[in-house]
Amino acid sequence: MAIMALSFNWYIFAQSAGDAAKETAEETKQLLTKITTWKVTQAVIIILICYATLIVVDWLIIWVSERIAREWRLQIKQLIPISRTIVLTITIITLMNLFLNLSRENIIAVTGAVAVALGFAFKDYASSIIAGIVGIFEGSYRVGDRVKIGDDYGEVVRYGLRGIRLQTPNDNTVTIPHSKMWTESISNANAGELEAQVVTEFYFAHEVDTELVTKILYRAAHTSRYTQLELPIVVAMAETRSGTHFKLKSYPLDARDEFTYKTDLTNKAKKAFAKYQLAYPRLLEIEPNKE
Amino acid sequence: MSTMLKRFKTWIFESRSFIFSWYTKDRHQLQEPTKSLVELPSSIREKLIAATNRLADNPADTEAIRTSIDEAFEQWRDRPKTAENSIVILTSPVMIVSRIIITILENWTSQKQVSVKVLPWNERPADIDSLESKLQQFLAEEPAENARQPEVVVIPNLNWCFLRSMDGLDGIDYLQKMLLHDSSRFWIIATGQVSWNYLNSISDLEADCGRVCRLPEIKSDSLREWLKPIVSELNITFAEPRLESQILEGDKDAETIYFEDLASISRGISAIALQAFLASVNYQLPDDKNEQQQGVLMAESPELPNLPELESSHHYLLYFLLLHGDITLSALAHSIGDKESKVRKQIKFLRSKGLVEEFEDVLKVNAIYYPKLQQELSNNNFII
Repeated sequence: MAIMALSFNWYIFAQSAGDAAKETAEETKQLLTKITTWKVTQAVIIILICYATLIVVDWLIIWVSERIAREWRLQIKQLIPISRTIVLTITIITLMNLFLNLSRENIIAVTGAVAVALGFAFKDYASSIIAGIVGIFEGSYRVGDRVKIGDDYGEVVRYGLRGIRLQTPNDNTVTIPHSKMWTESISNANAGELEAQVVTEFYFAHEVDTELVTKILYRAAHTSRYTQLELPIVVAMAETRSGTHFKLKSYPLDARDEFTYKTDLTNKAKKAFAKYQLAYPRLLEIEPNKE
Repeated sequence: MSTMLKRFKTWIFESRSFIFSWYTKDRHQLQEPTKSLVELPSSIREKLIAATNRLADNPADTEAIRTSIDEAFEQWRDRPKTAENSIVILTSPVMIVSRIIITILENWTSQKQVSVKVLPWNERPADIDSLESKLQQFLAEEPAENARQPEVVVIPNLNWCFLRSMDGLDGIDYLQKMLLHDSSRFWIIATGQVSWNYLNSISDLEADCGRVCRLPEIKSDSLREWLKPIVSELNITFAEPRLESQILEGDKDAETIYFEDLASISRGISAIALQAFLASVNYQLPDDKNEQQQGVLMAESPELPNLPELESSHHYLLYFLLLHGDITLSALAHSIGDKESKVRKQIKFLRSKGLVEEFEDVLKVNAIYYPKLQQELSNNNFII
């Protein structure tokens, strides 16, 4: 009796599973339009056009931004993520329209299915894309900004769908997913402005003439060709165990010149320090052996 | 309202080649003079240069400077303890007014019963380290005549008293100290706008100086009067104005429109106006092939040349040239902090494009490019 009941239950379960499969097949059939060679060819062409458009638009925006007045460079570069989003959205909608019957019910079904698929398979990818879209409006970083995310520092040279590319001072390119935005702190040196503060550090012995050092540092900043003189120049000083620590805080005309600027300041200052024979800190002072 | 109209006219003049090339379908046929103009023959070019060299300083500039100096000096003489003891004459960086100031002060010793001491430099000292000591030496000299007379000290070109380098600003520090503490002297200082902006941003020089006089823009009538000797001597005629000028200026004659255009594009600066005037003069060949008949000189609508495509390094170099006014190649290289060979290469390029002029080893920006260069540098974040 028990065996009969079990068999009956199994039969019912198998039948309902079969019905569900049939139903899903029917829904899929309704959702998908007939896939033909021509449609596949069209899809390939659309993808190629999308790819070419992205390249051309990126190139055009960068080309224009590098040729117009420097003050507009970063504003123009902000068009890159927006234009990429528009091109990709149009392409995805066109492809969906090509292969799917986009009725109201089907859109809900597709959205649900995509959500489930993304939830399991492309969780991180989806997170990055969403963070990228949020980033466009939030402005945590933009193309041309100089940012530090985790251990990586550099200029944002590309704002992609999944992540950004940083060009580091060593000329390496680092790709960082947008999803880092959720968890990492982002330090942005210029936040859309052309200038970013540069801090140049110097160390001297405790007995150094601090007034003279301060005067030299100000003069180095005032005479460097890169200095943006409309922004404040500050010399900060602190005592440390090994000596006196000076920080020269100033802004270059263009954040891109950050490292050249720092070198120029150091070079100018060091020449003056040598002229006045200023004493550098002595890290290890070993008493001469008297024996 | 008049300012807006003036700005609109300036904008039209600056962008007219673009706008009206769309408006007039066949621009060349409609706007170019019907007879072909050629470059000036060498003999006429020499005459033109000689006439330009004979040209006196623009009386409008001279009068503006004279009035300002007189007013400031009289106030100081009446109230030496309370009135400002200095006047700064600010000019465009492509214009030097030292000659005008010296001419004005020529008879002051007898007329105003004052001792006038003019810094006797006609260039920046080659040894930059000695700037401060040379200035000290100059100011320490006793007046030649009556020592009790009030003394007027003249720095005809402040640009020569500094160099933007670690050791080149000591002279300015010294002058600033003297301006502040020595009220027994009246100071007349002339400098360019770019160097003034720079010195103000690094040392607040304006706070220690008294009155600051900016030269007013020269009007078209003054330019016409000033250039009249050249126009008369060489019988220069004026070509039919361009279509846009005719539309904007109504029924004025060609010469009036020409000088209004000249005042507008030169922003009322004599040095730029003179260069634009010379650039607009062309030679019109005679109608027939009769060799005895001479061609005529014709001034076409004045225009400022476009800047060539400039790189970031050129921007820095041109800014430093405007900052220092006139400077030797070695001083420029020292100031900018590059090797002379590198600077020479860039200067060679800029000279080939006409942006920079060299005269007896001294470099300066060609005045005719200044308005567009100023815009370009301003767009690239320079304080100018």
